[in-house]
Amino acid sequence: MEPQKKYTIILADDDFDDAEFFESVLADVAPQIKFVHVEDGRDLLRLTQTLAPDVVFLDINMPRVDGWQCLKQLRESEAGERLPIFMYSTSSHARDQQLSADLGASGFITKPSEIKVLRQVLTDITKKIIDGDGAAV
Amino acid sequence: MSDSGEKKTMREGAQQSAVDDKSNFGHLIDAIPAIVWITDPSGDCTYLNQNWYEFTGQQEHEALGYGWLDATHPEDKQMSADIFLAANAARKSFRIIYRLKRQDGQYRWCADTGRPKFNATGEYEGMIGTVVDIHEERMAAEKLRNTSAHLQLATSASNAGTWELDVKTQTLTWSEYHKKMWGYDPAMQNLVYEDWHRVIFPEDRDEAFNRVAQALQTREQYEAVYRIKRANDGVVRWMKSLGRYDYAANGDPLILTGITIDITEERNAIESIRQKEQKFRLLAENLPQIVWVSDFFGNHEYRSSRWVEYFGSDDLETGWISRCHPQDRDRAESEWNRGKDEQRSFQFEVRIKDLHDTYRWHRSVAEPITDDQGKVVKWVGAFIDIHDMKTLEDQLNTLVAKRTFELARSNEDLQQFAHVASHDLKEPVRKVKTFVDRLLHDFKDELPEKAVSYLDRIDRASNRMQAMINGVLDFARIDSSRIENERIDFEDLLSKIKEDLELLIVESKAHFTYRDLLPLTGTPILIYQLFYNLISNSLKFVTPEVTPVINITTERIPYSPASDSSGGKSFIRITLNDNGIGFPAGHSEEIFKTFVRLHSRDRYEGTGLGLALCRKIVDRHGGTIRAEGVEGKGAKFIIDLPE
Repeated sequence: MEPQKKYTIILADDDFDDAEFFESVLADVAPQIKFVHVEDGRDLLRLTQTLAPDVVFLDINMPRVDGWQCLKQLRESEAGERLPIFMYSTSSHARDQQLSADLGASGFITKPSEIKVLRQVLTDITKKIIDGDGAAV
Repeated sequence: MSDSGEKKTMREGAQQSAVDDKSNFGHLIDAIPAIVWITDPSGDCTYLNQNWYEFTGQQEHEALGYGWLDATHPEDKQMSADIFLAANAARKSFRIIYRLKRQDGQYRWCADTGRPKFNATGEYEGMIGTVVDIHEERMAAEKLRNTSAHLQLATSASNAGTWELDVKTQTLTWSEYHKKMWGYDPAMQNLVYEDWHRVIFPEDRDEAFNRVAQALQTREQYEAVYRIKRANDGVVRWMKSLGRYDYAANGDPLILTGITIDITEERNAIESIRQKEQKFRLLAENLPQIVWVSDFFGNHEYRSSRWVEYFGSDDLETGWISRCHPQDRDRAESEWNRGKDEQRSFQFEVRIKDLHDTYRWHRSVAEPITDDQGKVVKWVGAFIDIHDMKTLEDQLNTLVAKRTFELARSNEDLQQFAHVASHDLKEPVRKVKTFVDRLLHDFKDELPEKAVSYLDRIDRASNRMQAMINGVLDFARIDSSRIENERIDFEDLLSKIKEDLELLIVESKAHFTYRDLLPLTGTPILIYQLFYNLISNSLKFVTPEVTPVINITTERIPYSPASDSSGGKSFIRITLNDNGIGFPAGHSEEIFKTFVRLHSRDRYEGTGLGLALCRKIVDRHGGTIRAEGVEGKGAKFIIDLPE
């Protein structure tokens, strides 16, 4: 039985490889954080209510409810209003980065392909969660 | 003429005798409508009748003796005196024509006739004579002489010879000139009909002969044109003879009188015109165009056979205007009238219907023909069938419009495609990279060295692919991005780039030199991309062991009306110099093309898109970018961006 983890990160991504990579690096960087993977925005919105995650990562292109819709709805909801939300996408388009900022995302991360880079990103973010004990990143 | 006392006495005696005469015949002599005079044996005039004094206005004492000579014309005086004295000395009759001054001052031509007078014993008594005014006759004769001289001049100047044929004897009388025309000696006499006839060209002989006979028959003017072969030199000349018969009271023809004119020059001129016209026609008939010739007013005088072939009618009255397409007719007619009025060459395009009522496009051209004075006398023109050309042109225009539209659409599609494709391509490449990385990370120690090396190569290849996809994506994106005119702090922008390229800069120990850079105007993301690419190029393309140095300067290029290319704007010129590998001088344009690589992939990384992207960004901002390089000594980029 896995010990009760104190923090939770939800990743919404329809790409299983990416999710697996993310989970693997996260487990390495911050094993104390619980990782939840959902395949689309709809599941994320539902689980956010119940799981009260500390950080959310959103892919943009997803079936049913995409990353942008998800971000908008979260920011409009009570639960997601102050939640650290990171866009996590293949895109490196400036337009997407701009939109992300406009819709109130906490950051825009272009999916890295190197462990080194992803480690760095996740280390930075989880460190803030742990240090700030759930305070806004 | 001495004035001795002896003579004087004699004169007085004679005068006395004359007075006696006068008393007897005076009234009779004065009644003669002539001047009568008497001289004594010495030549002194002893008597002049009243007519002299009335004519000349002289007094008796002025006229008698030799005083009468003073009334003659100064030019005639000496001559008159000489003749009179000579006749008097020889006691012979004489006649002098001299000009005599009339009372009114006018000199009149007069004939002075005298003859010697002898008494019964044969002793010489002097002269008696008359002076008659012959002025009118003399003038008439003079005039006649002048006229005939003129006539002679006229006939010879116009190459005319005169002739007469005695019908009965068939003898010819020719003027000298006529003889010369025929190549005969001018002195030749006893010409006969045959002398005229045999010089005529054999082909023309019968005709000329028949004309003579015909004129006799119809009693009309004789007229013939024929060639002669000159008797002396065989030269061929064209002649025209005109003549008229004179008839006797009984109606028999007596003489045929006429002139003959040499018309060779005129004939040659006509012949040369005829030949020219023939040549023109030959040319016109063989041209594929419809050729026409009109008079000054535009009435057709000639139409080439193509006209008949096209319109089906040779009727010169049929105008082409009625065959014009209704939509073109007014325009064509006004063009034609305007060209005619302005007397200049002109052309216009018009649809004309052929004999099957099918319209075809023609270009109508017309050229004025002027005389020596530059006056328009004729028009020559043509209808050139341009239907196929015109149709093709229309088709081409439609096609071009269609293609342009298609191109615009496909260009749009291409951008869309590039965006989608590269976006979707990024996914698997990133995955390849991810798993290569994870393989190396998780199993590096367990893998044989060769496997690690292979994985390295996979990684490098996927890196390149990723860079290329990003490049294509960026490239496609520039066209769709809106250009903003934001003010950009250039030094801030460079700091940001340096941050983003930190790893590369630290590795290469690159050194930047710039200060007091001017702000730029543009879309920040794109300007960032522009200098990011240029700087990363400078960092990438370096000679090993050389520390990269990048120098950047700015300067304002004010608007100059002289350089038209500026489009009324002032520019900021940014000059970026590096000390890298540079490029061959001839490649300064090449390097801005997409996917052009000047260096082998193994030595220097690059996608072949970086500079193409830079040019596109600068183009989109309405600026220019050019490169100067010396291979092995560094590159220099000069960018002019509108301020």
